[in-house]
Amino acid sequence: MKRLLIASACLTLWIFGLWGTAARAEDWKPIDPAHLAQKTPVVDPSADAEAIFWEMSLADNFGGGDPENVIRNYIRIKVFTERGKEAGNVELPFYNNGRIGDIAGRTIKPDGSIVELKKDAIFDRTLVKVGNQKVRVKTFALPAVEPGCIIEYRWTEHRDVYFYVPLTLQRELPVQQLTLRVKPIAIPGYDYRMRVQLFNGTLPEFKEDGKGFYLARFQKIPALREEPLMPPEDEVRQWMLLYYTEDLKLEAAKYWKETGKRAYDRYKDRMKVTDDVRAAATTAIGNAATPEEKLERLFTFCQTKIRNAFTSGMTLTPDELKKMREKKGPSETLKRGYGTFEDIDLLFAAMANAAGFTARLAKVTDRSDAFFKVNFADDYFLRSFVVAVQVGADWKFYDPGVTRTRYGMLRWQEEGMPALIPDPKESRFIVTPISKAGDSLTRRTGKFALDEGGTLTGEVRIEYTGHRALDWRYLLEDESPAKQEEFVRRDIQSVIGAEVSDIKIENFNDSAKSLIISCKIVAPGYAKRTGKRLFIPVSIFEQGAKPMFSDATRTQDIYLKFPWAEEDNLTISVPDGFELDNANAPQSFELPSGYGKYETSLKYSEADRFFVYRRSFSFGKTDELMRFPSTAYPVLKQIFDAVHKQDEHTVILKAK
Amino acid sequence: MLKRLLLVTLFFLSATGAAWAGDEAPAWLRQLADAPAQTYPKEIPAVVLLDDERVTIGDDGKIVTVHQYAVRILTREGRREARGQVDYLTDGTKKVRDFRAWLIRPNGVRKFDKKEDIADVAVVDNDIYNEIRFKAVAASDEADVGMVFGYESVTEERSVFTQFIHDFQDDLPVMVSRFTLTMPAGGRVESITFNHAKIEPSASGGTSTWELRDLPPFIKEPDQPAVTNQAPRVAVNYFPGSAPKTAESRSFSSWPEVSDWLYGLSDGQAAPTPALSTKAKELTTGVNDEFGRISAIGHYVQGVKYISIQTNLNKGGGYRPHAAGEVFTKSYGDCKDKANLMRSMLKAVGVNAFLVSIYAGDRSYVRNEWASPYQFNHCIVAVQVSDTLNSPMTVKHPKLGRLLIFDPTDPYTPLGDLPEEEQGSFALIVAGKDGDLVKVPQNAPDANLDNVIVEAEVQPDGSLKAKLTNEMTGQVGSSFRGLHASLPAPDFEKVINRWLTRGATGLQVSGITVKDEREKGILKLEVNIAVPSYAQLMQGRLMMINPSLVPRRSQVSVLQPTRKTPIEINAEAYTETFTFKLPAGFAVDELPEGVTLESAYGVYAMKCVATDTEVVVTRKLTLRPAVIPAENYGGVRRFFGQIGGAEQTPIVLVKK
Repeated sequence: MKRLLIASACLTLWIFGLWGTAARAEDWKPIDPAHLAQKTPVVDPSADAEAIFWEMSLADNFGGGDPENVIRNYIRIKVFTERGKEAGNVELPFYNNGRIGDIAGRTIKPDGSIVELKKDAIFDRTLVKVGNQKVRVKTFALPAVEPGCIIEYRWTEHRDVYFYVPLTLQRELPVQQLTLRVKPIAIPGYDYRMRVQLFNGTLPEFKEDGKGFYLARFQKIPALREEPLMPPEDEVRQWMLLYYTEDLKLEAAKYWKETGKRAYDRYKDRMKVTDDVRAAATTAIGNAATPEEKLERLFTFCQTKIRNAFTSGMTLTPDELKKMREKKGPSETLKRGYGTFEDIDLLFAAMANAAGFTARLAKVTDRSDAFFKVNFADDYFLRSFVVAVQVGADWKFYDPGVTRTRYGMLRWQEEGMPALIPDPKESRFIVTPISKAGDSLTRRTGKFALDEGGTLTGEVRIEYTGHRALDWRYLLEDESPAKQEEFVRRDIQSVIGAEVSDIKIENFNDSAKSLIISCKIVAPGYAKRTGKRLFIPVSIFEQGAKPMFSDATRTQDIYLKFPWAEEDNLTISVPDGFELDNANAPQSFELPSGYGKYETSLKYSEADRFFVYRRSFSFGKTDELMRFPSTAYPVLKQIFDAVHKQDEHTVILKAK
Repeated sequence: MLKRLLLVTLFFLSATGAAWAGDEAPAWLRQLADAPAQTYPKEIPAVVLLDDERVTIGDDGKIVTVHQYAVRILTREGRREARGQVDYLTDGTKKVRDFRAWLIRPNGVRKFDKKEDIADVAVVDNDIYNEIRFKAVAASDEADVGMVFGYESVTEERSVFTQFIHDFQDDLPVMVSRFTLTMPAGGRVESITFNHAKIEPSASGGTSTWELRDLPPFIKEPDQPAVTNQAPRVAVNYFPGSAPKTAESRSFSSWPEVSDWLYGLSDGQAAPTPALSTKAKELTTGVNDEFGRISAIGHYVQGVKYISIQTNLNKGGGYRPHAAGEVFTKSYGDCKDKANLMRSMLKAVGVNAFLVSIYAGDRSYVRNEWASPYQFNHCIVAVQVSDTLNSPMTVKHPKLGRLLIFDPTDPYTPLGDLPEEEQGSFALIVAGKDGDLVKVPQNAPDANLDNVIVEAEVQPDGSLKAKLTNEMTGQVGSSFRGLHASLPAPDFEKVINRWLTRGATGLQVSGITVKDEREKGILKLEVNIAVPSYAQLMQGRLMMINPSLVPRRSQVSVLQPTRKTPIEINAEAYTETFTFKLPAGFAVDELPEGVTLESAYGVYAMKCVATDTEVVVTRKLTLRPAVIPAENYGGVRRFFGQIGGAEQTPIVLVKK
């Protein structure tokens, strides 16, 4: 009897074991021998590894409990090179209530033999746990990975359902085919529907598979290649937004009108003009006469008298934080003297309204993240805000909540973007202005003496305005004076190998004024000496700069953040015993399509034995963002190479 | 990816800032905060007021460590010092019994002791898994200049080790740093001091205390020796003597003893498996010379992926490799796994080899005076070779004979060479009782040669066409080999482009080829170069030519006028021959004068020779490894300054 029991148990185990093996084998798709024999990638000839396929299945389930998003992934990768072996190191992060399970993986060696990923080689790590917040990751390394092999793995992730699910379709390696299956949640009586929006690619047709899933196939997705000065990642990579929204069946124009109305209603009370707000506006405006003067005073009041809680160096107690989160309106912001970016902007809007203007909190896209798409009828990209004020017939834009912006300018991230101006009846988009090149000016003046050994000594004053000043202020705001000096020193030394001393930074906390940096420099061997000549690169602050574009080719578009200008006015004294030898100034030229110009002049005063070198350069337009297609790269490179070449221009002094 | 996730989460930890508790700080911390603050140079971000580590070894071998630490913030950057952490092991052999921190601000004390305040963080490096974790507090966002941050931790552990190391300092100044060891009756301690005069402990009963006060800060400067080679530290051995000895505890009194212990942990793991042996034989079949056979196996093991899985650390797991057969099958492992695999594969073909413990990152870290595995962080291999094998990386061991040292973890340094920071270091040959500490050889400067040959033609319009041949050996070659191997072809081309464009604006490259003669340790790069306007033409009469087309890959930084710390120079040699044909119609008017420089650490020579048809510029720089005291910096500055001057002085041609 006992023997029978044992035999029965063995049979059961054998059957289950066999069934288990069979089930696992069925889970993997058959290997195509052509893929094993494949020597070169299909999508990108330079790829080190390439996904033969990637299958992703998303199902939003509602089984009576909390809705759950279940994502199943299965990826098969061909490894071509030693570098491609890295594809076998896998990290699968997940958060808080989420979980990842059903992980399996294997390596198919070039000879067709298979090495399975063992369960004990899969590690579950909590990277960080703080209170109830956790970041976890499943990690594993596929075994026996070598060039020529195929690796494949799959996993299932469970997580909460979100209204917006951005899906990255471009991986760090190319994908021959991505199959996406999506099953939206369906809750009876709940009038929200899932929608799909693809960015930077062509959306294939979704077909229903009869099991509640919608299926689409994407072919030949290249890997994302990052390049310097490229647009924000969301503007270049292929990605998809799955989102739930009310099924209003509105066209884009109607959608924005409704959205503007809702925004107006939402902010109406938070811009309420109370007696104290009105009184504060009256006091701040004082004797200002013109609308611009009045707005400037209100702007200055909000920016300087109301502390931004997120400014560097500002620390709030928990009580203060709690008060701030209550969002009671401009009167409260005024009373407590600090607030969020939004609180300060809303106070400014309320004060402007109190002063007789029409002001609204306008929604705008931050173009360091992505650009606005008017035909995408959802406010997903409208995550930033500025204050729009009607001045005469025009709408003007202000952002006093950002501590260091100058009156009359927005952050560059919000320039040139359509801003939705909320209104109970006629909401509209108005494109925020792009600042002029001269608004972001770097003006360098210097008085230098050159000795006969080539050492350049002098005093320098550099003035920054607009976005250039803002960049510096952001860079330095969290640093000690010693560190600020170090940043300035390194910046100057990056273009001129000099000792830099007596560094002074002026107007750092006064955003209304230019930021001024002054210092002394000593550059031994700046001018090169031969037996009878001295060679002086005259563009002292540009001659050692790196070229703007050094790569020969370009894949991504080129994106320059804002127009800018530079002005140099340098006086260099000539050492005794030398005179100019065939000296000429670098060549001036206009940039194509009205993008700017490069101008120089060189004047020598025989009597005073010095020459004055003037240089000015500006780039950019106010009527369009500076996003250039990759095809324009050769022209852009040519322009900036020409500027750089002229900036390397040398003036020769000859011994008398 | 993991690191990025971790950073994001730590940001949330510091940004969320839990409740303002209004608690009192403990007396020890209060007292430190109330003491008058000393003044330091403005660039010093913070001062450590107390670093007090108290270790108690119980009769049962349990080790309890109480750590008290306090730091005063001196600058804005110093806020990042307001953080504390204590490590523990997930296998339960080291536990955190208590951990709390305080930030003393002018308006009260913020206590960090709740679960929302303390992050539990995984060690994230190249590890798939590591059982070391940290409890951490980050108060940087709440801290400001003048505040005092402190923490206290209590840990309890059981370890096979009864050796301790206490670093008295990192780079911050320290007012009091102390290490105290309390042991059971009958025990005995020995200590060794590094980077400082011998520190005698004060003893009281079974308690010994090592203490230093008023340690000045380490100023950060370029090219300085590692802080680990300058900051004082004490190593302590505890010997139970007549005290009850736990079965596991280990202290060491000699290097052979350390070798014997490590050998016991690792030797059993090196047994070859049939598959491994087959592969080893396959790799060496037909290779008749000794070096070639070792090289074939070494190269194979270098190709095994580096992946680290760290477990059983308090039981010596950090020193025990995974079984060689397992590593061979998975084709991944960490440094000791790879070294052990190589040892096993060599064994399979009849070659004897040993594991070697070494410190990667600072060749002066390991000291002969303290026999301890704690001094190592890396594992390489020593292969027994015959007297006929010719390689600079051999050592003669009195018992083990001639040993060829090799690092199979570095995939780019071939057999016969070693990574630069390992050369000249002490290393332990793990060979049972026969093992001992040896000094690893250091290559001569000429073994790390960067040889540049440029053959160019300059046209009358100033354009240049050239062929660059760059031959690299030793660590120069390994570094470039790594660059070439780790980048896809388009990215590698960009790197070459960016490097060469620094020497000439608008430079275009083509025909990039890389030839790796690995067995000879030579890597050769060939590039065709075209520069549209290389020479500057002045009013059609003079032509100025920069004689340095190819920028140096590395340079000693001598921009700062003075220096406070020693400057470290590595062994390397650079030779360059730049030959260009004169443009038609031009003759040489002026040539840079030849320069010859000689110092204790280097020799430089530059010569410029012209004929009717061409100019040949030759340069040779040889640097010997040296650490030069700060007071001799003036000489170093002159030496490298003169080189810079000599290389930038232009050649002047004149129209005939």
